[in-house]
Amino acid sequence: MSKTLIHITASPYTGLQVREALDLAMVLATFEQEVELAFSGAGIALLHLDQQPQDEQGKALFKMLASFEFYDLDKLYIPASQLPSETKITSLACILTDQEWTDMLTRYQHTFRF
Amino acid sequence: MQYALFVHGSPYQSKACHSALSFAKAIIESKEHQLKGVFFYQDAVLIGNALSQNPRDEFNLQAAWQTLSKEQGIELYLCIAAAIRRGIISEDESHRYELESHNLASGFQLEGLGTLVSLMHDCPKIISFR
Repeated sequence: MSKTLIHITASPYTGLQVREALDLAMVLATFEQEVELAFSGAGIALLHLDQQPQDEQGKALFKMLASFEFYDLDKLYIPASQLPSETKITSLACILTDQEWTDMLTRYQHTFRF
Repeated sequence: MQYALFVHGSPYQSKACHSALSFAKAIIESKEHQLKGVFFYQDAVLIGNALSQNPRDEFNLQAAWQTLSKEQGIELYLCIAAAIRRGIISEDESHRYELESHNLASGFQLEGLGTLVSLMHDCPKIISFR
């Protein structure tokens, strides 16, 4: 079984990129592919707690995170160096040191960055 | 080696579709590699809009992909969910959504993300263009 990383670097509020990246992750998991997710840059915004987007700001994508366990999508990585200082993030995220982050990025047969 | 291409950058806002085309041609020209298929996702599906009109003095990217597909037998897949969301509609989908018209360009076909999974399974290398 191949192992795939979906690396999200785009903000969930700037377009459909993150929505469709999560769709891809769920489809891969549905087809019993091993999928893990990594977040950096603006993509970390998806993990923020207490988001209350209006309809105009798009679907509340962070709510999808709660369903990820049903797809065995339980590996959500974020580098410690990019942890937001004033905003809490979901406890579902796994915080990696820089070395762990670098090692993690090399573990996959396929990496798709959005 | 067998390759598949995963293109997800817009044909209008990025060079993803252009770069993927160049890469596809390079694979075909080499004798040791094969191109199994090309999967367009996100805004890249706009490449399959038959109603888009290319200025006559500019490179026709859609026609170039169609030629490649026709001459080399390369399958060009558009993600069906991404395409329908953006108004790229095949004849079948126009019936399903009770629309009066359809606009999927010839040479392209709408497929689910399962087709991408299948390409990932069959090909050691998937190259992304964003």
